[in-house]
Amino acid sequence: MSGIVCRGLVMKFEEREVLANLSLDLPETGITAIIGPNGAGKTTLVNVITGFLRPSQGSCVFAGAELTRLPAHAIVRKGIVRTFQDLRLIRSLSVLENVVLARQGQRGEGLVGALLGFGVAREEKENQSEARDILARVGLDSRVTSSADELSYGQQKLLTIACCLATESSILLLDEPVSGVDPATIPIVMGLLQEIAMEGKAVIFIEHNMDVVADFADRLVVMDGGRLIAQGSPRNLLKQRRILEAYIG
Amino acid sequence: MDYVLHILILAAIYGVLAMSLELVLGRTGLITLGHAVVYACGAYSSAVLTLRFGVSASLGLLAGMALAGAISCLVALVSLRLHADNFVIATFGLQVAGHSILLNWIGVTQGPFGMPGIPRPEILGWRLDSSLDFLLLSYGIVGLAAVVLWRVGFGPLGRLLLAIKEDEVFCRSVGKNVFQSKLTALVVGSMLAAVSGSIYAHYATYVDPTTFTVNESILIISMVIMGGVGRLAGPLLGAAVLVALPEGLRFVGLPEQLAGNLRQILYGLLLILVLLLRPRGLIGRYAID
Repeated sequence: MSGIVCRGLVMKFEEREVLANLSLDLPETGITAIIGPNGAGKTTLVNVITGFLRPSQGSCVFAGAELTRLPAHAIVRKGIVRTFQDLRLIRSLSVLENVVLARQGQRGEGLVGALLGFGVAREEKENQSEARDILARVGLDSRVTSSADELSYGQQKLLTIACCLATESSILLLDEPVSGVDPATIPIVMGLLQEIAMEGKAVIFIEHNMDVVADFADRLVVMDGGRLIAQGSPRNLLKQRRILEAYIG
Repeated sequence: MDYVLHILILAAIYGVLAMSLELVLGRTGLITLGHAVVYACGAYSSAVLTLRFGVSASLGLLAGMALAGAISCLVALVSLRLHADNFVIATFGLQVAGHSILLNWIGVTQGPFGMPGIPRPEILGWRLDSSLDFLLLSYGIVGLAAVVLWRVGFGPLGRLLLAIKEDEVFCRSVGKNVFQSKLTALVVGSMLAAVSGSIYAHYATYVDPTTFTVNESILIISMVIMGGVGRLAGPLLGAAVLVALPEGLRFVGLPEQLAGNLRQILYGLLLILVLLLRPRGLIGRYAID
């Protein structure tokens, strides 16, 4: 299992140690759930892996690259994309534009490409076509021209996943992809994530809903107090008393 | 007639300035208080190079653009990676320092005495002596600037800039180099402002530091806000209104002793009224947050 290899991660906010010498491996395929009580360091771990926080110590390596030295945008180019617990989208843009925006290596986003315009119109057309396909896949093909703000909460969550797919990353790190989503939409979101995993990509998600974790995750990582306290099969781990205690307190 | 041409030329020069700031402020959301300094880069580069070294107006213009681009790069490198507030403070620092240099580097800029006698330019054998010539040149420049800004601000790069303005974190999370995009907008905006400065210097044939104070920077911001952002015509309209408005007030029969002050008060009241009635500016597509 190569994937993302984190060793000795320490993250301190002033005196508080949010990640305490954390070492763990995240696989490059399948569905992995990261669970733990509030303050366990789950989101901090995702922030460190994706370049949104620099750890005080330690390393994270993916495909031979030391992620802790790279800026966030460069980590996406390495093939790791993430979503946020609080929904982040460009609300003034349409659903289609949000997905097109997430496409990588657009010539028209550089100054020379923008000024000269060679091939930009064609590239934009291709990106739009690709974005429409992705939106059809996540079930938002009827909303392409709506503004992102007009979507329901669950649809906005689907749109964030569509943006991840548009980056063509091989690892998706999703921070609570179904929190706040209505119960009827949860199987749709999780079914989509299963499909993505079946294509050989890794879906790593933080979740508090244990039913979702039990039903969909192949592998479980349990954190508490900035440490890894267990990892393995959800079926086995969710029966263990100390894991339940970490949750219940 | 010359008076009307003069107002139209000034509206064009300020129009390019306001359009260049719209890219920075309206599209990218960067509040700069130093736009008058990059405007001055164009004006003084043209003045110094044509008067002291006898170079052509086009070389002076290119030098001004390069200087404005380099200065904005420097400001961006030290401040753009920090919080937006730091950028505002850095550009205010640029404004204060730039104005002080114009005022005190007498050996080059002639300080408060200004630089008179800047030659009228010649383009491919066409010497621009009359106001009509300048009118054609200045609106030609408006057209060129509009093409550049259309390509930069209304294609994929423009979409990215708008997205950065709304949510930088999202843009970084989908692999966008936010710093590079902001730098691009700032440098392009600054270089276009330098073009305005160069045209102004050759038109007025005189430059001095009083044209490039922080008040001028605020006036350019007012033009963008007044016209509105998200449409190329917005800042052009804002510039036309704010150039024409004080001139129009001259024809209002105000008592002579109070005319100057009353005009300023009326000008301010009209600005407030427009913004109360049209928070997005006269024809703006988006609000400036």
